[in-house]
Parts: sequence; C-alpha cells; structure tokens
Amino acid sequence: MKIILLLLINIYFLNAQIVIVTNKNTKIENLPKEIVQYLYLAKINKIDTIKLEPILSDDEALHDQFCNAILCKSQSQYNSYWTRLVFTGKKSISKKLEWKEIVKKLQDTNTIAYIEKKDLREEWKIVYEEN
Amino acid sequence: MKNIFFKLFTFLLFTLSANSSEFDVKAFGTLGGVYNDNSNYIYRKDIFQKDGSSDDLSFKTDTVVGLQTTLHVNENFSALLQGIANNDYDDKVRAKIDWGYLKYDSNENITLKFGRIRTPYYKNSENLNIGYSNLMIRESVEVYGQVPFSSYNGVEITYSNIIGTYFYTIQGGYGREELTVPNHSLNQEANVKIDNLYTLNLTFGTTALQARATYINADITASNQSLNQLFAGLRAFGLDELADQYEHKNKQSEYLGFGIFLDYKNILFSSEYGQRRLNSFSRDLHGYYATIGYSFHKLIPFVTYAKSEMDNVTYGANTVSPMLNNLLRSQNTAQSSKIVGIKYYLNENFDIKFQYEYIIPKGDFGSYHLSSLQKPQELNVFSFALDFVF
Repeated sequence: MKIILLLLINIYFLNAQIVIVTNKNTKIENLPKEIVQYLYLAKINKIDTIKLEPILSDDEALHDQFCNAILCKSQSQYNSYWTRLVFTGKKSISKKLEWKEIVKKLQDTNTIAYIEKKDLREEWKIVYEEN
Repeated sequence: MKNIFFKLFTFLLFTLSANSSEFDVKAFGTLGGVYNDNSNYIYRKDIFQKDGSSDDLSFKTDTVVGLQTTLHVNENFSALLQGIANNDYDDKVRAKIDWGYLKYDSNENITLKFGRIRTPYYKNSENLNIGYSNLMIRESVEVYGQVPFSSYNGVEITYSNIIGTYFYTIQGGYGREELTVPNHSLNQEANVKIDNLYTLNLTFGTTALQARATYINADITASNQSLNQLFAGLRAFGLDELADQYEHKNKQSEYLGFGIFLDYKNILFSSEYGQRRLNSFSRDLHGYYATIGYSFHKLIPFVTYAKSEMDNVTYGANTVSPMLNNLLRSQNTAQSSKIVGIKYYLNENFDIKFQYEYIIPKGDFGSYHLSSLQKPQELNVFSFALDFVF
C-alpha cells in the first residue's frame, strides 16, 4: 500500500504542471505554444514591439519537463539544438538560473520563465498553460 | 591574401578582446575511430583526406579539435573566429582558421556577416565539425561530399520572421573563394578559383517540422599543369569543341538542394537531396539521404540510407583522348550507403556514438574511398566517436 502511495506521489510530482509566466505589468496576455517555442529556441526575441528574454531554470527535473512538454523535445535534443546555434555563431546560450535569480529577473517586464504552477506569485501572470 | 586577412582579423579580435569583458571562448571536438574491413580500399570521410582506414583502426578520419572565440562589441556588433586542427589532405595534422566574420545583428530580423562565411549548401554546413550537435558521426557523403568547398570570403545577409505560427528565414550571400582540390586517384591537385558566388537559402516551418531549399551559382575555374597541357593539346589537334566542353574554365556552375526535417517529441527524421551542375570534366551528380531516429531519453538509435549517382558519363567515357577518358573516370564518386547507429548523450558536454556502414562504391577508383581495383567491392565500416563541447 505504501509503495502504491509513493508511486502516486511520484507520478503527481513528475507531472507537476508547468506554466509560462511573466511580470504582471508586461503588455502581453497570452502566447500560443509555438511562439513560446520560438522564443526559447531563439527564432524570435520579440512579440510585437516587446522584447522578451526567456529565462532558464537550473532545476534539471523542471527543465527536462519543460523541454518535453512545451518544446516537444528531449533535453538531449534541446542540447544538440543549442550547441548548433552557439557553435555557428548564431546565438549565445543563456545561463540557467536558481529560483532566487528567476524571481529577481521576473521583476523586469521583458522576461518570461517556466515555473511549476504551484509556485505562481501574485506579481506574475500566466501567458501560456498546457491544457 | 587569405592569410593576411586572417592575421589582421585575428589581431583585431584579440586586441579588442583585451579591453572587453564580453569575450567568450568555447571549445569543441571529436575523438573518433574508424575500422574498414576491406584492405583494397582506404575509407575516407571526403576527398580532402589522403589517409583513412584500410583493414586497420584509423583515428585520422573524424578526430578534430576546435576553438571558437566571440567578441561581443555591443548589442549589435560581434566578431567570431573558429579554428580547427585535424588531419588534412597531406596526411598531416594542421591547425587552420575555418571561418571568421564580423557580424551585425539588428536584434530585429536582420543579420549581416562580413568575412569568411560557411557556404549554406546543406542543413549542417555550418556545424560540420561540431559532432555533439549532429546525430551521425559524419554526414552522408552522397550529399555533403558533392561540393568541395565549405566556406567563402564575402558577405551574407539573413532575414528571419514569423507568419502566424510559422517562421521563415531568407539567407543570401555573395563572395569568392580559392582553394586546392586534390585528386588522389590521379595523384594531382587542381587550383580552383570560384568567382561571382551567389547563394540563396530559404527555410520555412515550425520548431518541429522544417523545409529548406538552397540555390548556389558561381563561375568556377579548375586548373593545373596537367589539365592545362591536356586541353592545350586538344586544341592543338583542332579539337576545340571537345576542349570547350570539358575544360573547367570560368564555367557557370550550379548547386540545387532541398531538405525536410522533423524533430518532434521522440521522432527524428531528416532527408536532403542535392544536385550539382558543373558543365566540365568535373561531372554532374545528384544524391540524397534519409535518416530516421527515435529518442529514448538519452539514447537515440538511427538508420540511414543514402545514394549518389553520376548524371554524365564517367567510366564509360569514350572520347578520342585516352587522357581525358582517364580524367573523366576518376570523377566518378557515385555510391550507396546503409547506416545503422546510436548516439548516447552522457551530459551537457559529452556524447558517444557508434555506427556501422555498408558501402557500395560505384566508380573504378573507389568513389570517395581510394582503390586501385577495376571492379568495385563492398566496404563494412565500423566507427565510434566521443564528442565534446565546453
């Protein structure tokens, strides 16, 4: 029984819902999934006239889940993709940040980040949520 | 001229970098080993290698180390330089500057590059030496081996944008290039001059599915003492038409390529088709490959089929000149390959790969894999690689 309970808890945490958030004052309400992908894969860096900086988390489990659920790529495919961008001089890869740094970064209105929905704060708003 | 350009460029890069906090150095490389079981052939990656595996384990084919330096001058301007060290066509390990350019990024939709730029023939033209970014140990030579130069000196402009939920990129370039192209089968080298090089590349799709088309046009001259004597001799005998047909002198040459790529969830698929039109003794050719892989988290097994075919006569050449016939025969690089392999990601810095290739060369001289046999045989090639990036 305990084992089943532990498994259920694990499954719950493994499937923790990821949302894309930005500062509440950012003039963006909703982003289609494709646009979130383009921002995180450096295809675009602006929505209308608003420049957006995508923030990466150093939480490996969260990053892995983000790659799978939002970018539809395994983390290894994501690494390959970014290696290609970096070593062809197209883009520089952003540093993965700790939670405290992400919170600080989201004080700016030109940033977006992926977080677990349970960590959502009042000063942020969700711009994309996987159904 | 090229050396002076790069010495100046390197000096500029390092001088500016001394006062800059935005100076970035990255390293990459591959430690690779190849074993070809057929001692009648020397298995090589492409025509720019002299030695390879011939019933022995060779570390020369794929092993490469490289450095990339980037200087971010400000938000819009940067300078990049990438150098590599590997085994070259003199069978010596040499370091060289692979490419380097000054870049202007509008941070909107436009980027401009000035300097030595990768020619955008294929999807992985720009990251050929970055094994970690590629699925296979080496790209299919049936497509990637068609054009024997990978960079040019010139300018490139790129425009990218989105339409609805699709993105597109238009890339155009202009420049020139000079290089030495070896013909190991005849133990010769040709001095190749490429002028009025125009490149156009279109990419369209989503992050999961992309299509690309490439068109490249250039005026190309290939010459050496032996070639000059051959065509002068034909003209001396009144065979001007024959000489004009086959001499590679300022000939308008074209490359046309298409590709389709899928990277969705766990499925990977890529396929490219390319054809070159050279209108000279360097024969016309077309080739394609298709690769499918499946990602089991860190492990990606894949299979590939690739084939290239000559579009004009080579080993069946029957002109009045035996020397010209021999030259045409040596141009045959047709072959087919069946590949099965795996890539395993160790972490963000390392991966390891294993692959098996079954190759059937078509040409008398062994296609890309040197042979003195008149009847082509099959090759079984086993390879492994450790790729790294830092």
